[in-house]
Amino acid sequence: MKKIRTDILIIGMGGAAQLAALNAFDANPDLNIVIVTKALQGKGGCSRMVQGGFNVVLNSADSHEKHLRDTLKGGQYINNQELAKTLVEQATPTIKEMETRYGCFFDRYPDGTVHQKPFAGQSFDRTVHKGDLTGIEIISRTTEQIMKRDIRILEECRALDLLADTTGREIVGALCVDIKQGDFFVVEAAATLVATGGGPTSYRFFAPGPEKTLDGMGMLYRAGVRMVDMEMLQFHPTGLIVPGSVVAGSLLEEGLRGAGAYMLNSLGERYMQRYDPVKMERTTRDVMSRSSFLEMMAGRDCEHGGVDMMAAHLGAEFVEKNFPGMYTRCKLFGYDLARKPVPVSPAAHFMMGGAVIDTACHTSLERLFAAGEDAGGVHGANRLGGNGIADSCVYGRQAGKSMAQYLKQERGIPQADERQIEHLAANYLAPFARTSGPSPLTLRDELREMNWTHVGIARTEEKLQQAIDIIEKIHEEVLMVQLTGTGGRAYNMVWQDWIALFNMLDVSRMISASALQRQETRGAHFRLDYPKQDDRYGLFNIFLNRGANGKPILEKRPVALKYMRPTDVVN
Amino acid sequence: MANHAPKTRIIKVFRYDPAVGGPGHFDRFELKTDDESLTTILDVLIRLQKTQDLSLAFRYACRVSMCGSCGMVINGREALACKTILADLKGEEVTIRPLNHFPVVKDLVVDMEPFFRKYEEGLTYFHAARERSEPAIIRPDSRERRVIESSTECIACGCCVSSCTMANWHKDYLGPAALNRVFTLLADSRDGLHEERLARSLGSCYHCRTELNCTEVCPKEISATRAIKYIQRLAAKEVLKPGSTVRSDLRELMPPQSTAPAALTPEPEDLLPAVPPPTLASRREFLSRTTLGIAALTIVFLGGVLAATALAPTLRKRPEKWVDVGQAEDFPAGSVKTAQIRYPVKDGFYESTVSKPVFVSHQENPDQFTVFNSRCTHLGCMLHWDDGKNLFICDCHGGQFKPDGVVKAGPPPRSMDRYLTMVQDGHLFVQEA
Amino acid sequence: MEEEKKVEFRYPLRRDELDPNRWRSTQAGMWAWLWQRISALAIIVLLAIHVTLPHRPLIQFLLLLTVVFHVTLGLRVILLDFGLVNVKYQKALIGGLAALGAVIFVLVWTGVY
Repeated sequence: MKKIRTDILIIGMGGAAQLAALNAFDANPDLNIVIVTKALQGKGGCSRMVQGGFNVVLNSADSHEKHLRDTLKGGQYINNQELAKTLVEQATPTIKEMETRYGCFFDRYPDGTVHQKPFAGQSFDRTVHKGDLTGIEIISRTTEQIMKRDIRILEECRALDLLADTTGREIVGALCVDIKQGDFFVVEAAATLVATGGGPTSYRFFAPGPEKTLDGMGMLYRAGVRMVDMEMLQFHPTGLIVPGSVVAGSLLEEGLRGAGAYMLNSLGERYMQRYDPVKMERTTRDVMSRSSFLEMMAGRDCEHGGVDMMAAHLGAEFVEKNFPGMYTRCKLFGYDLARKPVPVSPAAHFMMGGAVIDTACHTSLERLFAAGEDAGGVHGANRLGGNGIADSCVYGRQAGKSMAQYLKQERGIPQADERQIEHLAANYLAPFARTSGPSPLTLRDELREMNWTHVGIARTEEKLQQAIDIIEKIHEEVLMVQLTGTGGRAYNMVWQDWIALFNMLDVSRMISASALQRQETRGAHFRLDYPKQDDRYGLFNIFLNRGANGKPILEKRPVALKYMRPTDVVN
Repeated sequence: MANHAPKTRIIKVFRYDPAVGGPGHFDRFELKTDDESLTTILDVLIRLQKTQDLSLAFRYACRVSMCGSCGMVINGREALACKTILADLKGEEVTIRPLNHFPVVKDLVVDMEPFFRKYEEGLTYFHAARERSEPAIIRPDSRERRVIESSTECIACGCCVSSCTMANWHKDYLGPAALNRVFTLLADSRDGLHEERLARSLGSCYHCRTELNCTEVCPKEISATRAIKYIQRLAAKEVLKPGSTVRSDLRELMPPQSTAPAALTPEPEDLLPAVPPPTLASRREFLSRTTLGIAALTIVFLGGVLAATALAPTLRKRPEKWVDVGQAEDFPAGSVKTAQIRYPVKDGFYESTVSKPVFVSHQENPDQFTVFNSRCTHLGCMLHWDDGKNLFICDCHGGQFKPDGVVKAGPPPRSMDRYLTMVQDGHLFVQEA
Repeated sequence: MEEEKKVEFRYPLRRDELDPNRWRSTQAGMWAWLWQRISALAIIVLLAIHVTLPHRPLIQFLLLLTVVFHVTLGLRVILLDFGLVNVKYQKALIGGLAALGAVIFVLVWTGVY
């Protein structure tokens, strides 16, 4: 098996991974850095798909304290305050470096200074953007910067599992597969960063690209990394419904509701008057998604099983001018956003939970770092729009600097355990030897459907209990999969889909177990059997580790209110 | 308005299996869709894979035309699969095949490595002109931003390069995508690599023939043609500017100036006495002769240019290329052995390695190696050495050659072709054209 | 040490290789370029015929027509080259200049004959 030995291994190539590579390289150009991405260079990851923008304090009338307060309020006070503080403070230098060092050009005010637009849940207009395609600008520019530097990119190579030393406490690299060739290879590294991003595509409706399959979190879990807040999965309220199409779930920007678009049920009612009569459609993502879901469950769903978003009353010209991207996306499928209602549904969008990290991105294992959506704790129970790309970029930058610092002392590249490698590789090849068994594509649909109905927007103890059993059942079937008729190992998409299922299953395990544990409603986590947020219940996070039987071992711990208490935040 | 009734289409998909090799072929599928106006070509491929052929390979990631992974040629035109609606395609058949100019990995998946390599060659990355701590103050209505427009929104899908008919004719052509990025950087006042970048694109920007194929197919509606025209104008201005550093680079790239002797272009005064006094008949005769002469010259000249362009590449003297066959001592005297030679060849965007067998004979003369081409001189089939019969044998039509390459039996018209050989530092080399 | 690639990639496809739809999908811009080349060759031929066989109305008609056509397309490229017309109007430019060419052609032809 081919082996690559390097100082730094970075898994993923979205915002967090790229910023980490750039910052590590700039801190010490002697470092050998290898990026492993399962997509083409710069084309994977969710950072590229960011539409809205990047929350950052640039104006002297704004302050880091205000941004922190908004973030904690949005996160329903269970954020890791240390991480949230670093996010808002480091966002400012990060966005400036984007402009001055990497060549991004964000939208400007007429006077030539950087424009900041309003976003939901914020006390100040602080979202930096480039039209409604902010992600393309950021990732295109940083990808070029990677090209400029001597950083090795292994594109269309998928990391399968992290490799531990014999004690299991130190990560020494990763086992990867070259998708184009179908061959395994090993990367051994002095420091490894997991920055694949999340992307909960394990649901019927999802917003991220289907190529995102929760690989990072699955890998981290299997390696024994400590995780946090896994029950916190954000549903975006307005994923476009396109029956039968893979485009289903792609988002219609939040700005539409901000501008005054209505959400209607099959009776044509603005149902938000039942759920949030004050803010109506301008409420936060969690409340909006939940309300839509309850309407759909109550049988007041529209033609395609969702609800309708109506923007016609804003004026056709206004919609076409201010939301050109959204207008054309709808138009592609014959929906007229400017004149008629458009069918939407809540769509699985973002994982607030992830690996436990400190502000230098260290995980609970030696030599292992995590950043971006793979890490948890920054956003608490609900993420604000515009804080996502900020998280990826800020913590990617932190991770890069931190790894360069770490390698000042520790430059030895450890050896991976050959037996572990062979064992893993054999497992991943097993389905090629079978001639009968279920199809991975059917099992994936089953898992998506099960997660949607059992561990979705509205959860109950009964359904969650069932989910935990169903996940194990699906897992057993996944182990029996056969790949007859899928061709050789080279660019075998169905084989890759099967591999992804393990990650989706592990994350589903973590979500359902944590969700069962949290007997209250908070942020994105909505329990039908405990429908009220109850602060007397206590502010705590749910931590977990993988147990010997593959199931998570959970631990509740109170939130450390280091900088702000909920009472400070509310006022 | 689109038709929402269920419809069945014939979908022809290009197939290439890397395990089998060969030129590939089209597979014909039939697919019924409930509503073509809600179905993208990406959906079509996903459904074909799921329901009809699990081995079908194609590439996609974001599915909302933001990543540029699913570029392919749909009904003869480059497009993103996720942005092409089935209902918009006319006719009963839909033909889907991979992008041009890129090696095909499997089915519709191409290797984008040549694309990124060319992209990088144009120095397509920002390099700050000076250290700054704050973002530059640039008004949105400033000239540079109005010029750059939305051209920075390129998603590097490769559709433009595939559509470009010039991309594989000129080795040094950076292609539309790279030149578009070069343009946005050249126009950006914050960038500090202006001259180097301009110098890099000079050899390239005039390869554009203004066919506008790239502009037509761009899924982001960016015009690379506009970008290339901008670079061309900038280059022209730069060349006219006194003391320009780019100019010297340009000179190297341009063909040498003709140094025709001044005597061939006579002064008007010298010309006048040669003309006979004009009479009506002689004037007509003179004019028709002159015109005929000019026409003949034009034909000869243009014909010459055309012929030269067409023939020059084949006539150009290629540099001698000596290819290593292996250690000379691996071919002991009195033996005939088969060896593989390898060398790289470059064709437009694509670089590949040729690998072919040759026969090394060390029989005729102990000091001299003879290396034979492994192709039969009859119809080019592959020969093989038969140790038992002590002959080179062609299985196609039974041609046989003696160990010295002379025809022994069968249809071959002449002896086997030989390479020029050379032994240096213990290695045997052959000369390859 | 790089391992040898196990899987062979296919040699890149060329523009109209294996694709019956290619010429049907060829767009205005490329036709304009192609027809300008073709008209250039036609001019050379017609010019030669015209010079050797003067005063043949049919030849003159064709020559004038070809020259006007060639000039029309050439002007379009010049206008685009110098940025005098935005590239996004390239198709309109073909139509507009062709109409202008037709008018000039009619004027010249009727004026001379």
